[in-house]
Amino acid sequence: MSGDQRIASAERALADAGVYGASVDVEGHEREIAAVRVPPSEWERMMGPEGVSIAQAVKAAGFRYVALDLAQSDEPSPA
Amino acid sequence: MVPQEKRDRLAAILRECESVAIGYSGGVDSVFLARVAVEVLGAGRVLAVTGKSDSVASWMEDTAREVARDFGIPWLEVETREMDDPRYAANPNNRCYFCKSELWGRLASVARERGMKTVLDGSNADDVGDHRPGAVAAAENAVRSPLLEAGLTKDEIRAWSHELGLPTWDQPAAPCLASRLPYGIAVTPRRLKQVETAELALRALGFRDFRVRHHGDVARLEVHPSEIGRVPGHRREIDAAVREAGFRRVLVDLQGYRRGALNEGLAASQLVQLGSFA
Repeated sequence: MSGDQRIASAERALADAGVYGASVDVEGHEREIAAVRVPPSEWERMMGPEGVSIAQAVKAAGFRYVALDLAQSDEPSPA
Repeated sequence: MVPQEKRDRLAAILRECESVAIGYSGGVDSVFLARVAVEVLGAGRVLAVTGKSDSVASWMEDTAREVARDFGIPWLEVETREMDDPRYAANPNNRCYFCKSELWGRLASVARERGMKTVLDGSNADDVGDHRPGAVAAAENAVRSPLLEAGLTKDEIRAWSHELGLPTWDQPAAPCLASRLPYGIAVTPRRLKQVETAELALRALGFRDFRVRHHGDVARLEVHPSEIGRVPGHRREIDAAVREAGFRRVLVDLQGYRRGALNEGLAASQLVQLGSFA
């Protein structure tokens, strides 16, 4: 599955879990990390037990790791 | 509670070894083993040896030195040169084999020079089943594992360490800094220093059980589930401190810290498990 397709699947998994306004891009030397950005209001939820099941759903899109970007959505993109 | 049978078994194994040079990292297991060895054999028959290299966090070295001083454990530090071995620096999935070959080779030399009969490591019963290519090097150098042989689990070692008053009794597991680099990303002093700097910053914020995984210019933090809830409250400080260590982007893994996370990409055939080789 190409990177673009994995991103769409991962964002769909997040929306299915009720996480709205999230975006995903790919990091890692093997492009194995789904880097997720969410609105600040979702932070506590993502860092709780529910975050683990959300991660599993995103991993199913083809990632080894699912991780939250510590930069806020309103901060500059890391590119 | 540690069964008396296991206590007796450990003492018997140590007596069988007569005199010992112990691979002593400053972690829970090796500190405990050195302390019990001094009790059973006497300080004159024990030497705790710490390998000093860029892959060992400075706070571990400090712990090793301080506990040895405070508990009367004869201690020696030797420089190891695993970083000079290109097979190690390339960071293959059996990287630990090359590191431990260097370490156990040095310890075997020290033991011979000092007249110590047996070289010991701190592997325990819970380590069975982990990916441990370094255990092959231990076997090649006739290193014994008394804690494993006595069947002591990590919880039992922690409980017994607490009884003995060892400050390491509740110390989180702390493998070498190279374990933060995914296989295939070359191990360099600069990358190890980045990891150490970032981890020191998180420790200064009160986090105890976590790893900073080095993915090139991205840091992926694994924080233990019991502590991950504190991350949002320290978001800006963590982000700034880890970037300061030289990372472009800081990510927090949603599954939190779990042992051997970087082995998740390995096939079963690539795993080397304690007890699975001759």
